[in-house]
Amino acid sequence: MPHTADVAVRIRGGSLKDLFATAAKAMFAVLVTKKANGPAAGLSELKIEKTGDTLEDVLKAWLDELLFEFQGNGRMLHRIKSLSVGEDAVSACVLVCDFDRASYDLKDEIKAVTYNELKVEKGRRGWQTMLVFDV
Amino acid sequence: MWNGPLEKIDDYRWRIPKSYKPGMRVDGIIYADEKLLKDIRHDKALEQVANVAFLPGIVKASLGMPDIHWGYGFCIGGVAATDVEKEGVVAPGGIGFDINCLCATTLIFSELGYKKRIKDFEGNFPKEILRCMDFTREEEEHTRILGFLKQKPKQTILNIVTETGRQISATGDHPFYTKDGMKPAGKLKIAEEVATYPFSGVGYAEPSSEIILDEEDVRKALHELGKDSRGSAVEQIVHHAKKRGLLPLRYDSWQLPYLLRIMGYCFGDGSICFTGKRNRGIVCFYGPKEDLKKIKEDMKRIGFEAGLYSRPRHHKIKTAYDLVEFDVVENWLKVGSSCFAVLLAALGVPVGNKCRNPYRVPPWLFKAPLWHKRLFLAGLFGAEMSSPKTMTGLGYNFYCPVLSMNKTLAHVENGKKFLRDIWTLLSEFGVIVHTISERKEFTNKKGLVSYRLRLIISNKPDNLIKLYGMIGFEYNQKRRFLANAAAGYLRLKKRIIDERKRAMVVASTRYEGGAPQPQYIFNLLTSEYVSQRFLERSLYESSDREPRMRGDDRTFEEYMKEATEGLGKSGMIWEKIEHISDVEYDDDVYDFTVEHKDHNFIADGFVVSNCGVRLVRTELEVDDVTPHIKELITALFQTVPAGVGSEGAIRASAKDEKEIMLHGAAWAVKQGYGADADLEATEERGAIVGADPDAVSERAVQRGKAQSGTLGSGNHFLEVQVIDQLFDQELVDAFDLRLGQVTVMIHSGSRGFGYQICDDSLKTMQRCLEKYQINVPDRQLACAPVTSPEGKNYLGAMRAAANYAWNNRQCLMHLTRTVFEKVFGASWQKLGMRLVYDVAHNIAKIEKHLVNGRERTLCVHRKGATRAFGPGTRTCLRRTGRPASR
Repeated sequence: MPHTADVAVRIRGGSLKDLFATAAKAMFAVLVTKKANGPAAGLSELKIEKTGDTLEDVLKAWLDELLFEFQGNGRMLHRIKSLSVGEDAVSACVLVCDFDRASYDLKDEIKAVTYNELKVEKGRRGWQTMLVFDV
Repeated sequence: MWNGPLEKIDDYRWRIPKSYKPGMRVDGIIYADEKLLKDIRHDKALEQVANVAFLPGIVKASLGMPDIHWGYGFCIGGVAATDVEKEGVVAPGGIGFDINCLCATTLIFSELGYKKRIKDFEGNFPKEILRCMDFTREEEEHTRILGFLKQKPKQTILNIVTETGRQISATGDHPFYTKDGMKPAGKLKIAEEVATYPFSGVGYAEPSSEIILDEEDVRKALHELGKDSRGSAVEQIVHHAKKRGLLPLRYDSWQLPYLLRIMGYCFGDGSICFTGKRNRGIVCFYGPKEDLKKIKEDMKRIGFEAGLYSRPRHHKIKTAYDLVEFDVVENWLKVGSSCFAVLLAALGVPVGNKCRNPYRVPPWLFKAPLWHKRLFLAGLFGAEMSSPKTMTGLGYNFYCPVLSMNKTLAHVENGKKFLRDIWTLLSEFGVIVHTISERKEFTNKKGLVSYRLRLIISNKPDNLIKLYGMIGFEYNQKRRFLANAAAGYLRLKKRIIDERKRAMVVASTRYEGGAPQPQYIFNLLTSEYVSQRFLERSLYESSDREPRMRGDDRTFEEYMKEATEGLGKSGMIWEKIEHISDVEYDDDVYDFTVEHKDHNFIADGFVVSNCGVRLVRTELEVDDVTPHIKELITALFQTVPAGVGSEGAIRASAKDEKEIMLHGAAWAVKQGYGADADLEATEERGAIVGADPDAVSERAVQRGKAQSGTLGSGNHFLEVQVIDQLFDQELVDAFDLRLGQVTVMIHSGSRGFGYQICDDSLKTMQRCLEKYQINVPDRQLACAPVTSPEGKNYLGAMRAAANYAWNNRQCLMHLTRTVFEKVFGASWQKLGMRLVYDVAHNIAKIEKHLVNGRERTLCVHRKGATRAFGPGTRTCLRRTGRPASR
C-alpha cells in the first residue's frame, strides 16, 4: 500500500459465504496473534443481521460489527455457527468469547475497515476481494 | 505515476484544470516546487485533489499542501472549503433499479422522471403519479396511487439479479411480469426473462419555494411584448394566471414540472407568436400526433386547452446538396392563450423566429433540482435530438447523439452560447459532450444564410447509458422507446465486453504462468460470451486491442427485436435472470423527510480521527537528559499507555465522558491534569463550540471508553526531541525555545471514539449521496449538505471527537509531566514544561472568509493540514502568528 498506516489482505472464497467467513478470520489475524492454546471463556452467541446497498456495503457492515464487538466489548470471534449472505444482506449467528491475553497478543489496532479499493468480485472459480484496514 | 494535466502557475503553484474530469467544479491547486512535485506524482494524491473538486458547493479550488500524499478519499494535506450559504448544484448518484416492489429502499418511478424510495411515498402518495405499462396496448402509461402498504415482513425476501446486474428485492409472493404473464417472485427461475425498464431517471429532491416568476415579471414581459396597460388585457392575463395558481410561480409549484417539459419541447419544435389586431398570443407545437396528444394532456393538467390540427403539405427545400421535395402530413397543437404565451415568454422561451432571435437557457433553471433540469432537457431532446441509431454496417456501435439548431449569421454566437448552456446542464448528469460544430447550411428565399450548429455528444457506451438512461426523451414516444432499448443493449454489451476483458487477462496470465495445456484454459474460460477462438487469439496473437462485439453477437436491431417482443413500444425490455438468492431483511425505522434547501456539503471520510499535534518545551538540555534516557523511556512506557489495546490510568465516568465531549481539554485541567495556561496554548482553548453528545452513537462511546490518556497505535507517537536547528531567531525567542533544548511532541487523536464516529457517519453519508443526489467519484468522499440533518449531526459528533482528542492530548501531556517529575526530581513547573502549542490537523470548521470580495460562511475541511494565521491576525498570538503542524 502507498501508505504506512494500512494493512491490505486479498481474500478468496468458493462462495460468498466462504469469502465472508475468511474475511472475518483475516481481520482477526490482523488484530491478534495466538500464542497459546487455552479454553475460550465466556462463550456466547451473537446474531448479526446487516443490510447494504451493495455487496461491498454488506461485507463492510459484517466486519464492522465484528470489529466493534472486539474493540467496544472486548469479545472476539470464536466460531461462525451459521452464515448466509445475499447480494444486499448478511445474516449470521456467531460464537464470541472474551479476549484472553493469556492466549492472544494484540497485533494491530484497526481503526476502520475502509472502502478503499473495496470490490467484491465473482471470478470463474469463486469470489474474491481485497480488504484495506486503516491501522 | 500520475499523468494528469498540471499547469504551472508560478514556481510553487500548479493547477489541475477543472476540464481534467467532467464533474470537477473548481480547479485543483497544488503548492509545491518541481522537486516535491516529482514525489507527489508517485501516488494517487493528485487524482484525489481532482476528486475533491467534485464536492458540491466547493469554492475557489481544491487545495493540496506541499507534501500531500494518498489518504482515504481525501489526500493527506488536502484542504477544501464549501459554501454553507450558497445553493450548490446537485449531481446524480446514478444507480440501476427496478419497479414494483415492496422493499423499503426500492426505487419507484414518478411519471415525471424522478425516482424515490417506496417508503418515502408514505403520507404523500396521493399526489404522486407513477409510470406503468398497459400490457394490452403494449404502451407506457401513468397511474395514480390509491393506497399505500406498509408492513414488517418476517418472511424471506428474494434478491433477483439480471444479466446486466440490475437487481431487485421482493417478497416471494410479489408478482413479476414474465413471458408467461405475472408470476410470483418465488416461482421465478434462473435464465427466465422478466420485464425491466432501462430508464432510471434521477433521484428526487424537494424543490425550494423560491419564486421564479411573479406578477411584476409578467407585467414587464407584457410591456416588452408591446401589450400596454390600455384596456383590461394586462389585468385579465394576470388574473388568468393567478386563477390557475401560476402566479407567483415557484420551484415547488406543482405545475412547474409540466411547464418544464413543455418549455423544453417548445425550445425545439414549438413557436410563440403574438398576432392580429389584439396582439393575441399563440403557442404552437409540431410533431407526430401521438406525441402532441401527450403535450395536450400536460396542458390540460395546468389549466389550458389546446387544439390538435393536421394538414397535408408539400415541401420543396433546397439544401446545400440537393433540392428535396416531399409530402407530409403536418400536425400541430395550437394553444390560443395570451396568458400561456406570456407565461412562457416571461420564463425565457423565445418568441418569434428562433433562427433570427437570440435566446439562452433560462438562468433560473440552473438553480433547479436535477430532476427539473432533466424534464427540460428531455422535452428539448424529444423535439430536437437525433434518435438512437447504430452505424450503418456496424450494428453494435451507436452514432453520436446530436442536438442541432439553425441560426442566421448574426446569431451564430448566441446559438453557440445556448448549446454551451445545454452542455453545462448535461455535465451535471455526467454526460460527456464532444464538441459544438458549425456548418453553413442554406440560403432561403429572402437570401438569408443560415448556419447549422450541432452539439455532438460522446457515443461511448457509458455516456449513452447516462444520456438515455437518466435523461431520455419526453413526449417523443419513438425516441423514448429506442432510448430504453439502447440503454438495455448497451448495458448488456458492457457486460459482454467486461467478461471478455477478464477472460483475456486470466487466459494470458495462466498461459504465461505455465498452465498445463491451452485446452485447460479454454475449458475453464469459455462461456456464453467468450468463445475458444477469442481465447486463442488472446493467447497467440499479441494484440493490444480491446475486446469487441463480434459476428455472432446480437446487433442492436436483433437485440431490440428479441428484447421487446410482446412489450410493444412500452420501453420495457426482457432481461434474463442470472441469480436469485434469499436475503434476510428487517426493515429499519423510516426516514420520511427530505430536507434539501441549501446544497452545501460537508465531506466525510477524511476527517478521520480528529488527531493533532502538541509540542511541550522543557528547561532541560540534551546533556541533562542523555544520562537518564533509559530510565525516562522505561517510565514513559510504563505511564503513558501506548500501542494496541492500550487502556488509560485516567478514568472517566459516563458523566465525565459527556463533559469531555462538550468541554474538551478543560475537563482534564479541572481534574488537575494541567493548568489554565495549557488551554491558552491550545487551539480553540481545547474545545470547539457546537459539540453534540447526542449525535454520538452509543458504540462510539463504548469504543472510546477507558481510552482517555492513551496514545494509540498506527502513526501516533510521543517523542522526546532535541532542537537541532533554528530558522527564525525572533520567533524562537518569542516561544522561549533554544538550540539543544529538549522538547516532547505528542501526536494522537480521539482514539476508538473518533474511529467509530467516522465509520458511523460514513454509513449515513453513503445514503445521503442518493438522497441529495451528490456525484462524487470516490465513495470515500460520501458527504451531505452542511445544513441537512445528517450534516448537522455529523458536525456535532465530529466536534465532540475533536474535543475528546484535545482532552486526550492534555491527559497524555499530564502523564508525560509526571514521568519527567519522577525522573528529574522536580516539579513540571520547575522543569519549564510549558505547552508551546496544540493544534488539530484533521478537522472541518465553519469559518468566515472573503470570497470574490464578499464575506462567506464556509465549511473548511483540513486533512493533515492546519490553518496558518500569520503575525497580526489573532490577538493571543499576534506577535508570532499561530504555529502550524503536520
